Amino acid sequence: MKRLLAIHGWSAVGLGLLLYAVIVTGVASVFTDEIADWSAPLAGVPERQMPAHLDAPLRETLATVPAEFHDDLVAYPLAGGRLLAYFHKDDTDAEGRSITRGVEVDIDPRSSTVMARREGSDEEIDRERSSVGLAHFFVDLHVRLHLPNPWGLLLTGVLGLAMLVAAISGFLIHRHLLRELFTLRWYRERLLRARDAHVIAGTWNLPFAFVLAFTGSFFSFASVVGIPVMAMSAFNGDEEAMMEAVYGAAPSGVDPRPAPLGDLDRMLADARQRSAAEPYYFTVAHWGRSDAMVTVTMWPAAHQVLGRTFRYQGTSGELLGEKPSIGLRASLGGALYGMMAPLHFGNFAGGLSKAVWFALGAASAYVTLTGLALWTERRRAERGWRWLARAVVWVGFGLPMALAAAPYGFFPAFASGAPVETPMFTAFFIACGVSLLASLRLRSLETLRRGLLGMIALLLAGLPVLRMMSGGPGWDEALRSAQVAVLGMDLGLWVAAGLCAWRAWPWRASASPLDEAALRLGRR
Amino acid sequence: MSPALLVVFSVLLSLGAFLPLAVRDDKRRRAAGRLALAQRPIPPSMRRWLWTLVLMPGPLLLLLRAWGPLILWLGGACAAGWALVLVLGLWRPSTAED
Repeated sequence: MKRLLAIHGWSAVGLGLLLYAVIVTGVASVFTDEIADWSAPLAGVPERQMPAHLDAPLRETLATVPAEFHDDLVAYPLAGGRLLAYFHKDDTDAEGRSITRGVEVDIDPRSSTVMARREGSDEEIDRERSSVGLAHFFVDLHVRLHLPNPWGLLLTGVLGLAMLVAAISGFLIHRHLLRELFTLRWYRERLLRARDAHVIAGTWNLPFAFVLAFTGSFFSFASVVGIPVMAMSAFNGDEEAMMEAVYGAAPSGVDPRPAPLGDLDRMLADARQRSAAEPYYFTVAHWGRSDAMVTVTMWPAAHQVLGRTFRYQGTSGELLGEKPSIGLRASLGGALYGMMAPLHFGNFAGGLSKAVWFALGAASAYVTLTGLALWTERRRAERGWRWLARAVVWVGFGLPMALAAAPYGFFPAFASGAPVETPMFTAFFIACGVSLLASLRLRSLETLRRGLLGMIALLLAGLPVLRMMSGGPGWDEALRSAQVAVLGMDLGLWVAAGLCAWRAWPWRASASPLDEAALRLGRR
Repeated sequence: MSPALLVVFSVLLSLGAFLPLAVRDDKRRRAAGRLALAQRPIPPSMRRWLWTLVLMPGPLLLLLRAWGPLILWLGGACAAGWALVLVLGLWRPSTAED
């Protein structure tokens, strides 16, 4: 039992603060679509949805794209309801890595006109795609901690495994799991309170923590370890051949003779009618050739977790059949693989599933932070652990503060049409620096915690104002055009700001285990 | 019934059964002191019924093949249970042992 407790504690303490960063940014990333819609809305466009008529604007755009990029097209609705279309081909970079290269456009669904055009490799285009800059900032922090590939993915994969170890060992060491399911003694001594709060949140969150850690590790390791290893061992290193074998090669064979593409609007309408759901994205392979193929992937229909994918013969628009997520025939493995994304992202039932995933993700962050606070509180007599206690408060509250500061770099840059990446990082690192300075200068951890919470409250409360001052729609305009994300995010930010201000209130008695741990260590 | 309503009803059903289980939980009552001890413990048969009620939405949603609401019920019931324990934990009995 002692050994299990040591495994549980050290697996969390060793990587706990980084794990906390990944979880907190993951919680924010649950609402990545809403953050994108909120930060870059289009006037008068009610919600993100595949436009009903996109055949004509896509053909007009195709005429402006070099023929070498007609090989592949992927299209999906982007921030604020823009339609993104990326015409591209597979290529390799100077170091021999597989990349794609092409032309990407944002199409305004109101006028079917091209709003923005980007050219280059997928990485270059990704950096220029400013309408989703803020949302991608949070997602990239969650996925790879903004570290270059493959190191970032490897690190977050290891963090996922550490979370898995902590969840399993926590389950094994807690022998009275069901008996203590309802026991939370806020009114007892501090250590017992801290322990209860950690155990209760961990227990109720256990199944979800396990699922999140497993699926997160899977996504991190799949591309940097799984695919290359599988390609190396079974396909002599040919990743393209492996992808064709796993995901299913085009059934129509190779026929490069020129032929016009069928009506895309008709194919999308057919997919809508067959699945009773909206298209998530679609691809067109070999536009302008006889072997063209259109693949439409749908959002899950009501009551479902997995969306369906349909394949159409490109020139005739005839349905070729339904495509499972892996291979050409439906299988249990394919269904399990297909479940990974909805179970990790929580986006299979719109706002409802996102709200549940947000709550459970917040519980995971709470478990991590209270676990670290509990570990340092139990070892408070040793000088070295006091530094970890200080680091826990710095990261625990300084990271959310830095995340709340990032939009202060995004909005002015986006409004002026300038690149958004550098201003966002600048704002983020300034906030990190300020919170670090406060952590080093303030003797009392309680004062530090309240100060950082107060700063978070101020930053969050100012965001809706900054958004409107940067040219974003006011509430009346958002109401008129039913821009739910704009209204919901503004209100949500103010509620969060109010909660932080309440927790930071100087004359409010400390109540939570984190408050108490900070208070106790701060008095030393 | 819409998926959202199905999830809300399922979570409320589980939460409704969690409430007596939590309020009259043995360990919680002992920890809370004499005031809570005045409440009678739940008989084992009743406890079994309440746990059946907690888990009942699972098989029902399975029968309906409502996979999305099933996963949401699992997550939502866990989140609601945690919230319930947090709220009940705020209540400090006047005769608590400490």
